[in-house]
Amino acid sequence: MYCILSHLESWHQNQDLVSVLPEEVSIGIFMILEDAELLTCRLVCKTWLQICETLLIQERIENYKRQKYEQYWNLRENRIAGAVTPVAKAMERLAFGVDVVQKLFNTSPVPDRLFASPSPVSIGRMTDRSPDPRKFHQYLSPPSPVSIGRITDRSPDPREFHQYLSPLSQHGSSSSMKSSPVISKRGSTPIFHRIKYSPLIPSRMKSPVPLRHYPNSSPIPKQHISIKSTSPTPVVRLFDATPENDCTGLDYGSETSYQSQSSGKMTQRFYVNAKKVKKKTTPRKDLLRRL
Amino acid sequence: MYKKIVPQIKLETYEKEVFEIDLDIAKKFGKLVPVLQELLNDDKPLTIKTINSGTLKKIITWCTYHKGRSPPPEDDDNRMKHSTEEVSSWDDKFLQEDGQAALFDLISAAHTLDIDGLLDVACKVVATMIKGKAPEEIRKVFNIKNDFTQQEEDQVRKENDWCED
Repeated sequence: MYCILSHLESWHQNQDLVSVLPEEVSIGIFMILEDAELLTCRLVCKTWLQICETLLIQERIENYKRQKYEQYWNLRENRIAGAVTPVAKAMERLAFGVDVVQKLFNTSPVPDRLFASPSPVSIGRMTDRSPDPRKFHQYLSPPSPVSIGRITDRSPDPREFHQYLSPLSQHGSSSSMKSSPVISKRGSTPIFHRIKYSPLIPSRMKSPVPLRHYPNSSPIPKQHISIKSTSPTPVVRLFDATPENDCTGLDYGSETSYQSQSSGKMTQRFYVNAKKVKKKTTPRKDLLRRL
Repeated sequence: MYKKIVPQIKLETYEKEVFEIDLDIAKKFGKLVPVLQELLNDDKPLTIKTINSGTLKKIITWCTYHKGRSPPPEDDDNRMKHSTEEVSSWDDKFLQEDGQAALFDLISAAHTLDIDGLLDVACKVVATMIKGKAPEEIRKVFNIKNDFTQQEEDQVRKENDWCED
């Protein structure tokens, strides 16, 4: 009678029967449920939310969230698997870096609040873009512009990386990526051109020979043009010691011999330092005597 | 012809009603196992104040039905496997026939007397009542009042939102 009364009382006090059971029994009931159903139970009432926040249930919910989170990242990694450009890699590292920093800064004792609050961390201009998994869908919806050398306030869209690859290397991109509407729309400007004409690239990288040009001055005479090596080691040239080549006065480095395939003659080949050694001329004694 | 004498123990409920229970069935009551020998020797019944007669009668019926069956496994892996098994139709009907209040009394009594098998089955039945339902439906089934403020509910919804299928 006591038990019946107690339960009826709780029923009339709008207190549900699961809540009046001993905690371990309530947890036992919740443990039978699926992970996704536990999330639903959190929404029923405060008492049920409290039951869901006990250690055992919380652990299951966290594992479930982690699995979902990993599933998302695996999917994301697969999508950009074809993109092997340094830009793509850098963008990806940056995205993961933000996540790591976010975790380091998150000191919340309750694990399920891990991604609930807005991120206090700001990196560069990515201030309002915390790696909240609930927001990830936005990265996948519209194509975001990516500029080289400058991080825009949008996160890297993995679907964009393929466009950089398409004009240069096709091997990495999947067929599904090729057929996506994003490629046909944006694939006309390869990243190669952007890099080539980017003002951020040093000028020496544009032209291999750093020749100076003065438009108002007279052309420089040819004999005055010299290419000076700035390297500490002397330039080494290949020099064949044949009767036609006068090898006197050269600073020999190393030597090797080979047999010419055409003539069958043995030829000595010297690797000679380019710097030509001046022949030391000692004044002739007989001339000195005359003077 | 000799009549087989089955040792029995006596239990008294909140309503002062005395029940004689066979030793085989009494062995399923985890809490009574350490004192069984004393109860057999003693003629006085053991009073359990937190259990009513109706509930104890149901417990005895359930234990009699499941007399020859093995108890649920002790180790965690097998216990989890066991917990996901479906409830038999007999159990389902037996536990729900007297309504929710009786079911919860039964769960409380099974917890008090430490009857693992009955507790497992009863919890499974309650879990079945929760499964596949929206929060509003669960509230309706268990007569629960939504005590969340709109802001709190939005917050919990927001936390759940991204990982729901």
